[in-house]
Amino acid sequence: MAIRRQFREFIIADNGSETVADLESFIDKPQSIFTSEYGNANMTQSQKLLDNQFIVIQALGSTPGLFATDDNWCPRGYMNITVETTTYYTNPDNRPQDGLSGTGSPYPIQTNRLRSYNSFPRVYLQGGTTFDITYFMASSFIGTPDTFSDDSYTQTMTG
Amino acid sequence: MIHMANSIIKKLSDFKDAQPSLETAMGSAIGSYDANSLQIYDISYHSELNRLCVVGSYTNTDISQTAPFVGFYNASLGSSYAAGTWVISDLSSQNDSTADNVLEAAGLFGLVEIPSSSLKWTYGWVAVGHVPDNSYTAGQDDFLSPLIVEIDSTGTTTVLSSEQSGTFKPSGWTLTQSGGASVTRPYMLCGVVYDDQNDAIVTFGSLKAASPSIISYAFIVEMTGSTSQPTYAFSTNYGRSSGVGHEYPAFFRSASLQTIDPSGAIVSNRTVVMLVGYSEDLAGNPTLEGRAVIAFYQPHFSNAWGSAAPRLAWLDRGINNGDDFYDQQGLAADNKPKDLSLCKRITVDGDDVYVVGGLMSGGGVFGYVFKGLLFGDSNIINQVGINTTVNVDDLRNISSDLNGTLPTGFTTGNRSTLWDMVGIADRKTKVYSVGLIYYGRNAPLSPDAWVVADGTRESTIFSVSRGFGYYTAEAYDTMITGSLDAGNVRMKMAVYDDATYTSLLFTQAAFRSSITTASLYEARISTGHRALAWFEYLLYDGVDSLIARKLNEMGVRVTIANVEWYKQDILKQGLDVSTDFFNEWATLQVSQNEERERVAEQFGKKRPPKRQTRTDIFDDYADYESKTEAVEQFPDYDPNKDGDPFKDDVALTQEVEKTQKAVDDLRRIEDVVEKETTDESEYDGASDVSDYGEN
Repeated sequence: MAIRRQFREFIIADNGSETVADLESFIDKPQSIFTSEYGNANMTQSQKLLDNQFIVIQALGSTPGLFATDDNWCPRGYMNITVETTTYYTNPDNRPQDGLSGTGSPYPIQTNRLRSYNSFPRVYLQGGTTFDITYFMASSFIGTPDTFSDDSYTQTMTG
Repeated sequence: MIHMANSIIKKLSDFKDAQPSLETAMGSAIGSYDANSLQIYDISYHSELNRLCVVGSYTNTDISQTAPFVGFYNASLGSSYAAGTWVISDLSSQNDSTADNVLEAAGLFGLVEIPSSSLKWTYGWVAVGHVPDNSYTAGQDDFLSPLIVEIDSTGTTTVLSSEQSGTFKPSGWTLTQSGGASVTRPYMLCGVVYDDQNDAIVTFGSLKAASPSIISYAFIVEMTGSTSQPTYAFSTNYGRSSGVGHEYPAFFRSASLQTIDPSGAIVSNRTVVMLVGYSEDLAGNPTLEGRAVIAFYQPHFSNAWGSAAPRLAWLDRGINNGDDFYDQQGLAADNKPKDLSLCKRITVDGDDVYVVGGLMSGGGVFGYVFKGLLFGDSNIINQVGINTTVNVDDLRNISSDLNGTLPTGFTTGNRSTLWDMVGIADRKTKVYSVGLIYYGRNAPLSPDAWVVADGTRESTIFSVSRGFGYYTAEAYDTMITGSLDAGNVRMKMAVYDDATYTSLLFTQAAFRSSITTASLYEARISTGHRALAWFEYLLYDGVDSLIARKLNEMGVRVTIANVEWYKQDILKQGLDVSTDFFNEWATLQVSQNEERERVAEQFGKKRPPKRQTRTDIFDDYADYESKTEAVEQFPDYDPNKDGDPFKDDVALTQEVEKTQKAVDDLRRIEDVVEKETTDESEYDGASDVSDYGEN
């Protein structure tokens, strides 16, 4: 019996350890940071709380950035909380929204990358419920590359 | 300008150093191998065969010459390289050991894959190069002669053409257009390409004139099968080094080909080979400085020449002519290429471009990209003497980009050149290598000083987006220490894709072991992009989870402080949660249990349970019937029965008296009951004697 502050850091990287196919399929939809099998999300059990457990979510954050450039790639990532069959961040019609952006709630927090919130809205997860934390990456690791084009040229070559 | 070049390679990782195992294998296979003398000039990963092959040279201590070798790795890649898996072919027997004062290193410099579908070649590779040869002209002891070998799928090599072995001696090669002999003599082979539509190879290098031998020509060799004699062609007008004082030979150093008709269809009768190289033509070049040449060649096996001149056209003849490419592009003298080291067609990344690279006259890397080549109206190169029009859909000078994208501490100078470029199919990007070149030499055995003149990191890897819009040197920063050896100037690459991961194979060479030995690495390539997500929470479990839930039901924020407050409140104790919470919790548990015991005992929950009914006062009456029956069945009761020897008269008397007493009690109780139920005096309010009892 105790109160413990815990965390999970999810990492997915194109560093030679992920196949291009996995990197491309990762961006299709929100992925569980626990069980999606992308990156280090390699847990094999769903996140169902025991009856004698109670979780208060303290913070969510992800790599910031909304617009990737040649020199500064960013994932344009969003985090969301799923409890049973509902999500925390939803659109007005109750359909799931992308979630909390990495720009609004960056991780890691740096002097030039601060949270837009003084405190994260507390979300309570009751014992016995199944929950998940999802990460949706809108940018692509591979992306759409450029195609070569330039001015045409004609020359008469000496034989 | 945004190019969305997300896929550009910025990271190399999981390095595997293959050089030590190759070095060990060389020492084991070649008795006269001079340790650490191997130099690797080309590398190929055969994607159909799934095998790696490298070619180059080493120093043979028996003949005191550099000699060609082939290294075939007879296992799939992906694990650590083992010395016992290398198949080494020593080709030092192709050297003329009597030759000396050779200015070019012997070795194999070009390597091309032969697919299993080939009918005229052995499945594997063809490699070309040159070796010392003292048989040409008496007194010319720096001569070389070409060498062509094929390597099968097990690494076994077969010499296809060699002056020493006598197989298709280069001195006996004939002219392609006529089939006749020539007074010229094949000198060097620097590279080779394979035409899968015609199942033939085109190799290229240098040709020496008969006399004076200082005149040389860049030449092209056709070979239509491993059992066919090579034939060659050249232009006596251009692509030559001529005149007294010209030190370096003219030669084609690199080439690439296409086999497409104007509609883009792949056909066998529209092969065009683009070649680049070096020349020192006195005409138009009075400074004796070399000028790079670019030519297009249509093989005889693709579009027959008849007996006429070769189908050969010069984009730039290297003679500072205003009609040629460099001037037409408006390049300043310093920006014109002095030598060209790379011509490569790249199609695997979803585009189709030729990349031409070399050394600018004023120093720095020269680079151009060509896309969409159309020759005339039908992709036919006219024969020498007739001009040919070339149309390029897209053309770009990338020299400034190449020189402007350098890692810290790396500079380009008067020897810098573009050595190689490979396309990465699944990432749709390109990786290229920049190193140093000794202009006018294919494999210079010149003083070491030229190598170290430009610094300590002579060659390294860069990346460029598919459309050449964005360049980066970030991959350099991720290379492990020692993977770029100081002194290694020539850097060639190959791509190894195991269907899961893409790796880059790269090798560096210095031409001379006195500078450094070659390196050979395998490394995974990636963008290095990384995304992180963070989830932080407080977990309340056990009793705390119940309190947390209670607080939530009460509408109170669930915080550590609130949970502790509630805990203290219900326990009526002032716990200091900031100290040893767990010890206090244990103490609290003990006191709570004691309190529970005390309260329970106080409220009677711990007293023994009540007896259901007190029957002892009625014992005599209770067993009255059984006792009566016993009396009746007593033997003495019946005169005809014998008496119980254990019940004497005293006992019998006592039993009777007891029975009699019980009967008396019963009658007395009955009398009392009858009296109480019939006595009306209890209800009339009058006093009578019975109210006072019997006394």
